[in-house]
Amino acid sequence: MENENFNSVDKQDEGLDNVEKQEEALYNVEKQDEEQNLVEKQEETNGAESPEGTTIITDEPITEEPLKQETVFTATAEPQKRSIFKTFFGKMLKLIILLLLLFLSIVYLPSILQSIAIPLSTYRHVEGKDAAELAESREILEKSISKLDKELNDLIPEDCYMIINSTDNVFTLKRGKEIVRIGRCSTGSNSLLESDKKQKKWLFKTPKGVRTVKSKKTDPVWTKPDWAFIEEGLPVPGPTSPSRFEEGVLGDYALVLGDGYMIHGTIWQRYLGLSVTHGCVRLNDADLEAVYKNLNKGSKVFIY
Amino acid sequence: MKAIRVFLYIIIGVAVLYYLAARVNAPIHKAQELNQIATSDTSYIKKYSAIAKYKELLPLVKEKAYREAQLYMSKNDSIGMVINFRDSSANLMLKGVCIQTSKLVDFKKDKIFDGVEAPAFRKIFSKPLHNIDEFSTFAKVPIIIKKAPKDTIEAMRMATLPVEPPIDPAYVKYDLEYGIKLLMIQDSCDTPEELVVENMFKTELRKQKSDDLVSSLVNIGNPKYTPTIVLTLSGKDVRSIYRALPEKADFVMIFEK
Repeated sequence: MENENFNSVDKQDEGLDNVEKQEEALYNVEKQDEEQNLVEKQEETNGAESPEGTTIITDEPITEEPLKQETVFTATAEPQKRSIFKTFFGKMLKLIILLLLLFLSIVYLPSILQSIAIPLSTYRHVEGKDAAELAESREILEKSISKLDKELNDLIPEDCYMIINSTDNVFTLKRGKEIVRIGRCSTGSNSLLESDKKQKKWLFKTPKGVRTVKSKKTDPVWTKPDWAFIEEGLPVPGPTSPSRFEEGVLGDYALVLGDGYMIHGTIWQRYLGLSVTHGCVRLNDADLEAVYKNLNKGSKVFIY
Repeated sequence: MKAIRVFLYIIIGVAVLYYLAARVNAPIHKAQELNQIATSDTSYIKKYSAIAKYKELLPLVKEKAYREAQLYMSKNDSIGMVINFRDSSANLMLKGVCIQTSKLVDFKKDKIFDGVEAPAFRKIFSKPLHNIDEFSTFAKVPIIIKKAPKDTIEAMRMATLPVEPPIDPAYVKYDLEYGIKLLMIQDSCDTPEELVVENMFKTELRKQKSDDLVSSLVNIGNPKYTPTIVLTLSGKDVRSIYRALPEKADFVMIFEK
């Protein structure tokens, strides 16, 4: 029994030894497989193209340790590069950058290049180097400039003058370059009155240009022209008819500008600032008085 | 596939380079054309040899030129305009007297004027530039036609209270001598109507610009180019300037020193 027992123990020991051997053999096979895989990968890496399209050729002998390191490096770096440039967003980014460059070169670059090229391209047939000639020319130019300045200054009236803006219906009274008074006025309505009788036409427009004050009147009487009757649907009276003369409608003063045009007052002061007249310039009472006092016979009136 | 892509890139690159060359060449050619107005006149160049020789005299030439132009304009009976780029103002002048000064909200001056040399500058800008043609988005003289009434009853019926005229969007284009274009545009666009008019005006300008561009692309040796000055003013100022100026108005420009 004891022998039988001993035999069974020996068998058990033998069985354990066999298991250990099997495990060791399995480990060795796995290790060999791993090494084989590594060698295969190394071979693949050596023969494959890099992402940039160049073939890596190495003369160094292939060893196990460096092989493992290189294999690990190649295996991790390659997918990273692909993720940036080969993705949809990467391609889109490249396209956007290209289009942006194209847009900038079409829109902004020409004007930048023009600003550089135009001054550089200017033609200069002779470049002078005579300092005396330059100084002399400079002096001549400076003298002629000061002479021209004097001539231009002489054009500005020293006395009071009036400027009338017929678009905005404002006037400015000036003495030299100094402003004396600014105010509202009324100028021509730019309306054209057409009469069936005799096919006559009148354009109620304030004439633009320079005029001079021909005469000054106090308590002026308006001599009504033909159009004043036609406009009201009335028959035109004779030239000396009393209905031609109307008092009080032109205010206290009138400054005659010629050709039937005047600067005068008005009973329609609420229309000042509007283009409503038949060509004359209407002012309010206070402005009219100031203009009357400051402008003399011969004073200039600039109308635009 | 890769070869096609490279070929496409080369084609685009060459097209862009050609476009840039045409765009740069057009104003250079125009500047040379303006300079030749003086250099082709040998007697003129002989007379003003010093200003042709010394680059340092150009600021003084500019100073003299605009004064001479203003004086020349003062001899005319009609209203003229002085555009002062130094203090950003547009001035209406009549007989040498400044009758209105409008502040420029903004202005754009063509770079070509930097390429004009002293002799040409003297020849071109020492006299006012005449207006050859003009276009505006509003009437110069808004005339209202009225029929005379037959009797007092009809006159009473026709009588209406005076109202301010409608304010139209203000955009003006002047075609001046030497192929220079002057634009006056209002500074703001508040109503839909103003926007429509502004777009129409800008479309017209874009059309002219694209015509010039096509011309410079097709004919690179002799391209067409229109030097342009754009003045931005208040709508009120644009209207009053345009209505004040006669149909064949004169323009004087005061450039930076």
